[in-house]
Amino acid sequence: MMPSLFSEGEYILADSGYALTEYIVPTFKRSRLNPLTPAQAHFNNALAKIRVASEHCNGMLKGRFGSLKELRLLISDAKSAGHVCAWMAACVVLHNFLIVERLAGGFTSDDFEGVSEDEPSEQAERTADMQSVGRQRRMHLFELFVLEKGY
Amino acid sequence: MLTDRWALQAGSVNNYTNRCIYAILQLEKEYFRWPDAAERSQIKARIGATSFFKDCVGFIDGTLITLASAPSLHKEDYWTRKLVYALNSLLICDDQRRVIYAHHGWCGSAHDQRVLKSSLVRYRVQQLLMSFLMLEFFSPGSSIR
Repeated sequence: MMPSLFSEGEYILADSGYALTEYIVPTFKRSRLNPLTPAQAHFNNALAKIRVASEHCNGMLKGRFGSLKELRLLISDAKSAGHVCAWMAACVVLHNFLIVERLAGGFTSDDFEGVSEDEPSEQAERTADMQSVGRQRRMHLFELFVLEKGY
Repeated sequence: MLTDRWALQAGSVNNYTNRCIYAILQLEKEYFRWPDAAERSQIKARIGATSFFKDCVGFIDGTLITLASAPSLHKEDYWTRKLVYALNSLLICDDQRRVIYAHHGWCGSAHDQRVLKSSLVRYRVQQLLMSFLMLEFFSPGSSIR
């Protein structure tokens, strides 16, 4: 994820299927050697509680567009694969359209300045660096969480 | 089904469907985009109001889109752990269930993390192309409509 997409301190939440990076905070993963501490489990719970919106989003998409439950399109070559992508992209646009038009208080979309075209940053973003930043962020959040909840 | 009901040829149904998809995609820039800094701070405020996470701007998730029939090309790549042929789509949504980023078309056997990586590569290539095209074809101050 590029810096231009995020302001200072911003991140997105993920489930344990995703790797820790600078901008992605996944849940703690349980392993045989390191079972979750109770506090970590509570952290995961709090994360899942708010992240459920993404599952709602998937469910709404599939509920609104039955075609996404069982896509009756044949993928036979690059062209048809592109067609399938366009189909799904169209569903997403309609989904957003319904949400935006329904919510009077939602953000308006007069212009397309959200994604700025910054200079591509150097390739030197090594995974290790990103991971350490991400780890620090999660530790920081976790400490705050423990402090606030008093585990 | 539509062909029986309205006496249309299958080709026409396809054409009309494609035209609709094309028209809907014209709206993409208006309804589907990454939120800018101001919108992100709104999202942060809303999420922070109900949750411990104060600087969260979205939630990332992968979802499987089941296919009704196996693809005729490389169908083994589309076979998934849920024992169906499917595509893997990456979606990032905000607290209002609005999709702010999506990456479609990966085969179902790909792991979510892999889809994410590929979407980052796509993003970087786009950015590179943009900056390259800008430098190449536009002198400072000029613009296109």
